[in-house]
Amino acid sequence: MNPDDVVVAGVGMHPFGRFDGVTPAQMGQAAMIAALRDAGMRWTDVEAAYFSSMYLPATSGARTLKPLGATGIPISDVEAACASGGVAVKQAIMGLRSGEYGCVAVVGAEKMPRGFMDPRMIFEPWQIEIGTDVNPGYWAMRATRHMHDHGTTEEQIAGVAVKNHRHSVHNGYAMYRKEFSLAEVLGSPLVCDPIRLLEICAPNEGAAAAVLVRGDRYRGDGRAPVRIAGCAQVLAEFSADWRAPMHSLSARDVERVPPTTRAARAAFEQAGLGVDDVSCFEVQDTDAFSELEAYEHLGLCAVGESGRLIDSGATALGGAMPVNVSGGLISKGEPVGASHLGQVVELVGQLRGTAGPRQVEGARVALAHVLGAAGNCAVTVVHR
Amino acid sequence: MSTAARSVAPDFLGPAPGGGWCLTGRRCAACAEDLFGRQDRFCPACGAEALTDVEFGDRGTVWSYTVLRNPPPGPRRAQDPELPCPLALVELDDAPLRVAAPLAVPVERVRIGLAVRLDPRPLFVDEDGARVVGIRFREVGR
Repeated sequence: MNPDDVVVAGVGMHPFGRFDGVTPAQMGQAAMIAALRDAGMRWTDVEAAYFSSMYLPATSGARTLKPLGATGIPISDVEAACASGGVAVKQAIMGLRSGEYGCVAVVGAEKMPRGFMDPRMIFEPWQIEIGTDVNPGYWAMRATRHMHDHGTTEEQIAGVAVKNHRHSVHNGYAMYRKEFSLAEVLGSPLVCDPIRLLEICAPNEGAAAAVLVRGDRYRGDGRAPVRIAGCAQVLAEFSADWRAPMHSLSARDVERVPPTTRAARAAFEQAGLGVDDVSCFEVQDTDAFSELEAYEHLGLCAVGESGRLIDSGATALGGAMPVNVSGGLISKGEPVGASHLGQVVELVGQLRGTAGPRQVEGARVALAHVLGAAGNCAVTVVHR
Repeated sequence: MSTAARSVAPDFLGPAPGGGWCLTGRRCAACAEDLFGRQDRFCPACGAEALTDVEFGDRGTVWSYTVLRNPPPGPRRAQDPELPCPLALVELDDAPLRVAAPLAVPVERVRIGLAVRLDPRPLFVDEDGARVVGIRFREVGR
């Protein structure tokens, strides 16, 4: 195999949810050991590791992975809010392609407190004092404006939650595995209008891991190898996006390309592929509206058309462009540092054809997307 | 002046030239970008360093909004806002800026396009007995 190829030799996951008494290191180790077993490799085969988290203290990567074997390899923590896992993947790819390493582990782990995210992580003290520090509030205002500009309805937003909760029933790694009707979603309490409780993802706990191997070092295991076709990380340009508590937001009528679009373009360019080649998507559904916006920014439909796209059923399992067949973050919860790697675990299963009742038939190319504070966005494209 | 009011965020909300309060910021001499607040040293839009202090007017229009249905998280000295509390992105009338702020507007009256004016809210009294105020808007004419 070409030395520029990056093969996902193995993936592993610790379920996302609530695990009282279990440390984030234990969750990360469980995911890492599962990924090594899946790859048929041992920890001593790993030459470097990148560990993604947002809420864990310094050297959490070393604390998590060094107990698997104090081999002296470099273990670095990386953070980019909801896109943290994408940074770990990107760093691993660069380490492999540079020729420095032949095998790199990526692990994301998190253990977040219950309830709203701690606003001190991303807001200024004065923003906390005046009460604008509610994380879903910033996303909800995007939804309100989209409804105003494009006629998107509460039923269409709720439709995303109905779909993702329905998908989650088959995912043993998800925090919530329960189907909800449209009436139940629309009957759940408003959190930040128009976003409701059953349309929002819970910050929680969990871990996910992958073992990445350079093409010329990959031995093969009889399965069709899954390769990383592209991986890009970008930050929103000035005022292009307020998924961050940026205090200064330009209202100038300037055409800016959203971070999701820029990251996807870069990843597709590396891959030599386009959105029409993708068999299934895992996208950042922080809330149900965010998934609709991702449809538009990834190019699944034109701007303003996402409400009609969810209504058409095209993005449900069995549709032409299934999105979040894992149940999405709405069902799995979002352990921020682990979320992107959790998407990768799901998509590798889809490409291997081992996803069981939630299998997308004939999946060959899959895309994972995360987007969060400061407009941090990462997109990873995998193929077989 | 132990009873004087002060701003919770002096770089963003300051005394208006004609009395009362105004939102404050900087303007880029190179690209004319308006920036809310006076903490930036470089223009994030073009990178220039030539920023001059400006005061913005107190009028704006609701560009989008949400409604807080639960107390906001985090440690604050201010009293929690009365719920439900609308939060808005207010587009200023005299500068192309959108500012996130709570609204002293009944939920049933909040809509995109609503004309609002700056009306800072007393948040708490500090150690020196000063009333500390923070950014808030209310409907024009009410």
